[in-house]
Amino acid sequence: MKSTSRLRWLQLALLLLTLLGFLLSLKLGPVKTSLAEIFHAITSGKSELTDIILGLRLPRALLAYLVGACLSLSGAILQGYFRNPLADPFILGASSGASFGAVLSLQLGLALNLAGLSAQSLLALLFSLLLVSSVYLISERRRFQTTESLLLTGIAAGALASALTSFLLFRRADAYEQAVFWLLGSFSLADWQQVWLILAALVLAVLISQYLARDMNLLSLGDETARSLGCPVRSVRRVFLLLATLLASFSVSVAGIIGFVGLIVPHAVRLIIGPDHRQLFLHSALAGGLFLLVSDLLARLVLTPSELPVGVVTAAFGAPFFIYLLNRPRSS
Amino acid sequence: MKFLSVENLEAGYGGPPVISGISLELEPGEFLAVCGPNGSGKSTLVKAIQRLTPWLRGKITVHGRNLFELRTRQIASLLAYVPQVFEPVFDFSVEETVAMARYYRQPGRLAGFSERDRAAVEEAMKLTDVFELREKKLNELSGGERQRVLIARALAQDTPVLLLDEPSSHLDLNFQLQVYRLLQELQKDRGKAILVAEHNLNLAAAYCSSLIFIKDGKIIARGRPQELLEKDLIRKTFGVEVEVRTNRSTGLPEISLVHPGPGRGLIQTGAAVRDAEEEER
Repeated sequence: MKSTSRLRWLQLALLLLTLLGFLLSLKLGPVKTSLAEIFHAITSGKSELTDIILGLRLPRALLAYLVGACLSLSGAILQGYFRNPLADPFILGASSGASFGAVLSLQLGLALNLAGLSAQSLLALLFSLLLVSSVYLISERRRFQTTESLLLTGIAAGALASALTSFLLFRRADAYEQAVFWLLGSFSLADWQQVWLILAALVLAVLISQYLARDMNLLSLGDETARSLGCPVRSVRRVFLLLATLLASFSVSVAGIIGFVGLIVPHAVRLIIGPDHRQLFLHSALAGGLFLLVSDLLARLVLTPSELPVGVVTAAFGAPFFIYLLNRPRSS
Repeated sequence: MKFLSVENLEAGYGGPPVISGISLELEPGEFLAVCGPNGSGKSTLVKAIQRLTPWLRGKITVHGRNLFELRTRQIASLLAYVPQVFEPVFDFSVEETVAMARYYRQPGRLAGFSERDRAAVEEAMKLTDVFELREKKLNELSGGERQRVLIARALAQDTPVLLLDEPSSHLDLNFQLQVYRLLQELQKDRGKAILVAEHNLNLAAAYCSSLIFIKDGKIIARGRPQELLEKDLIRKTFGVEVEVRTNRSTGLPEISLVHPGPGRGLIQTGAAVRDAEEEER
């Protein structure tokens, strides 16, 4: 099948499945609802279900979708950046920094709220950005920064942050349960302010990454070749790294650490429509949204009335799918 | 004024400079090969001219324009670079790969491909004989085919100068000849100025209009193949004993390795060369 027709099929499938995903997310839950009731709740604005649909289920579904899109776009950017299909949004330590911030805030017992972000989220965001920026600055101190030095510094710094997090948890075992939220991810605290915040970050990142998508195609050939073809490698690399980091950090700060989305979704989309980043960025975002929307739905339903952390679902469904994709017979 | 002129170029990767004191000139329709032993700096020289090495000093002008004052995209309209064949990470098709040459020849980042872009890509693929392969992925091609795709991409860039880093490495004899014939056509029919880093002396002598010998990062000789393929000079540059003959069918010089006799290796190290020179004295 030609790649343009594959693209059309993917778009159609994404559209239909996403609509279905949102519909089911609004419909299913501890309180049983019919489609007519959902429609009435949204349009009238004051039925009994309005609070549940508009106050809980819709923002939650939207946030799951947006975070999925952010993580997946971040992964697509970093896989191109490192020329490595195994890169993911947390490869430079964004998640380790965020867990440290979140656990620190739990231990300090901070309580505040800014633009929909709790003290936990704010500290997670702060430490996530702080960690990745220090990784970048440390590796840039070398006169000729290479992506390898950046990658290795990121892994080392992430390990350090994880050690500090474990230390904090070890000292105060009572904070452990709350900390699991950060380690495995959840959308149970979603609200509209978070939705708007993540939406704004995502729209901005999609526009910029789309604008620079051709440069990412060039970067994926190697820096020398990219430069020889006219790409201002250094500045383009900076912008992409900033985008990927902001996307990952904002995602972690509202939803905790959700693995696998940013790794497998861009990879799967690339297998379907090819490596051209002009299509890959946008469609990875759309597919990542769908993937996390469905994962969160399952996280809510599998053990009703209690909930699974969504990270468990993404790993449980993502990993076998990924293994299948990697080992499927190649069509020629 | 010379077309491409390099003065006192020094380049490296952060440590001590790999090449230094390099000056050379290139005219349209000239096909120049830089030859030297491994590690002599021939690839670095080719990269440095395109400003691709992390550390660089000296002066490079094309058409009298100082390369150090130009933006990356402006340089890409003057010089095209063909790297050594590599394993592609992502599965781009042949046509997509060649079309990347046109990204920075377009007015803006979001501009679509114009008729001119499409024509340039198609012509480059036809010239290099990869048009039939255009829908294939790079991973599905042989080394020779991939090399031709990289040359096609450089051609689609539509620049007056082509720089190639060891275009014959990884290729079998047949593909080496194909690639060099193609380069010679481009030089003769299209007046391109071509500079290659090449380790195969016979190949360079057969196709290039002039040669440069480089050793330890410095140019030690420049001239026509007939002038440079000379026993003593080759011993001095490469540390090997050769015999120079005239190829009966082409009339061009070529070398063959000479076995130096029992007890001594076919290829001599720098130290062995010095010993031999002292013995002669």
